[in-house]
Amino acid sequence: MQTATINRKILVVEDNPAQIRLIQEALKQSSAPHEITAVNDGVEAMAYLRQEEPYSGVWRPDIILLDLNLPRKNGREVLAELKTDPQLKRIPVLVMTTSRHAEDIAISYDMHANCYINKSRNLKHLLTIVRRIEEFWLDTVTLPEIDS
Amino acid sequence: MWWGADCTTVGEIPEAADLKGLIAWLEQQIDEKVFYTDELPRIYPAAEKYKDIASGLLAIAIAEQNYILWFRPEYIQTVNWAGDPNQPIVKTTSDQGTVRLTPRGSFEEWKEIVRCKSLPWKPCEIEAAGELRNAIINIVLRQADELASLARELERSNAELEKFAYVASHDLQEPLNLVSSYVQLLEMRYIDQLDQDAKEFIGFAVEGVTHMQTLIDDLLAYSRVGTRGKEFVPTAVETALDRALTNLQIRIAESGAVITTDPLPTLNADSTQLIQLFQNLIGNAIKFRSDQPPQIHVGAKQLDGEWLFSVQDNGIGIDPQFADRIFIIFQRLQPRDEYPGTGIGLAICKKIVDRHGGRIWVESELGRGATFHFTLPVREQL
Repeated sequence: MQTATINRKILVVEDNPAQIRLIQEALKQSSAPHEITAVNDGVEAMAYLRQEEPYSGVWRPDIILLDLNLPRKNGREVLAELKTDPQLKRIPVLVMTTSRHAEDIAISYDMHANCYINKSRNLKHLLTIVRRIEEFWLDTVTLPEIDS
Repeated sequence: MWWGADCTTVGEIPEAADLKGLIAWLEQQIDEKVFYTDELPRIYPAAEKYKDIASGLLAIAIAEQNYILWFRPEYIQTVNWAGDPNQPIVKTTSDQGTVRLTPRGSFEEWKEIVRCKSLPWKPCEIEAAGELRNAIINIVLRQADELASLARELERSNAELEKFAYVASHDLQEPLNLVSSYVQLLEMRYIDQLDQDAKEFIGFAVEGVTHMQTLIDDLLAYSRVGTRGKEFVPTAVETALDRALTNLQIRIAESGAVITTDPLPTLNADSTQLIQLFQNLIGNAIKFRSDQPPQIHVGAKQLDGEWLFSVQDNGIGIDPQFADRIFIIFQRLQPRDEYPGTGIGLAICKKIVDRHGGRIWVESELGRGATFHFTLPVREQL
């Protein structure tokens, strides 16, 4: 049974520090207890999730916010690896990207992204998005137990 | 010169229908570079009809359906024979029914007038025709090469444009989004420390970014008319118009617009673009309304090989001197605070109509409404 008192862990995979900070700032308004970790590219994201060096011993996240355009290993590749890995595939992945391309949207869902969100155009929009993520993913839904 | 359906002629030639038949026949005959005969009606009996013009034929094939032909008229010749060569043997039948053959009756001189023949083509004429053919084919091949390289270049630049469109939608938008968001974050976080000027400046900064974001979106939409167009399929224009009106229903209701239409045909078109075309034109008719409720009529008239459509309104109208300028991307005639928009709508309309092989123009006077006309060709489905 899930309660709002559980400290939810969010992994943000995003190469732009300004974007990461903005998400953190927006989540400061959140009432749900949470913890944010950010990694800057696809390779780091997979290392983090597989708890490989230098991420051995970290907690696995409850949800992942994934950008599609990333250095080294892009978001599509990360998504494909995640969703075929028996240990990671049940972690909800929220694709968050500037791309409004129909192909990007289709491919993301084909690869079992849990939802596809366009990045905000302004602060008001961002606050709305973050509040809805919080209300839905951190509060409304029952998340699976993630093995650490 | 027979160039597909086009025919250029000098001097006397057979009639068009006859020529067509001759070309069809020639197609089967001309396996060599140069075809020539000085007795066309004998090998192609249909030519007897126009033997006065074309008893002799010299022809070169440049490509399929592309020929150059020279004709020579009939030249009646008299040939002297010793005996009638056409009746070498005389047959007589006896009373008993047996046939008796006798040698030619005599060797007296026999004259035959040879018809359906022209003067023969001289070897130098035949050779010259062959050389002309080689010269033309070299030019044609070179042009084909140039065209092919042009097509490759076009393909490459289209791919580049597509890439640019992707970059525009992502890489250019993201920094703008951040500027907008952080300026707003400043305002939100430090609202107590900001005076009225500071808040106003932040407002201008956000407005500028928002406008830039819209411009990029519009540029993307404009570029996609060409790169993301769908195949033309039979499309009921009325259905497209209905969809456009559904998309505009809030603005129609708010403005009290009354929209009437003529019966509309079904044409081969990109239905999504047709919806967008009507949506932009009718949307403009509503936006640029006068103090009267908008009265909009969508007309359609069949012309030779095309349909002429019109969207007529009773709005503020356009000064005729700007009639061409309004179709250029980001050209605006009205201040943005009164009539918001980037000036992309009509540029997109023009690009859609162009892509369908039609034309678009406006007839208007200031204060007297405007009528936008566009044509869509009737085309066979590919």
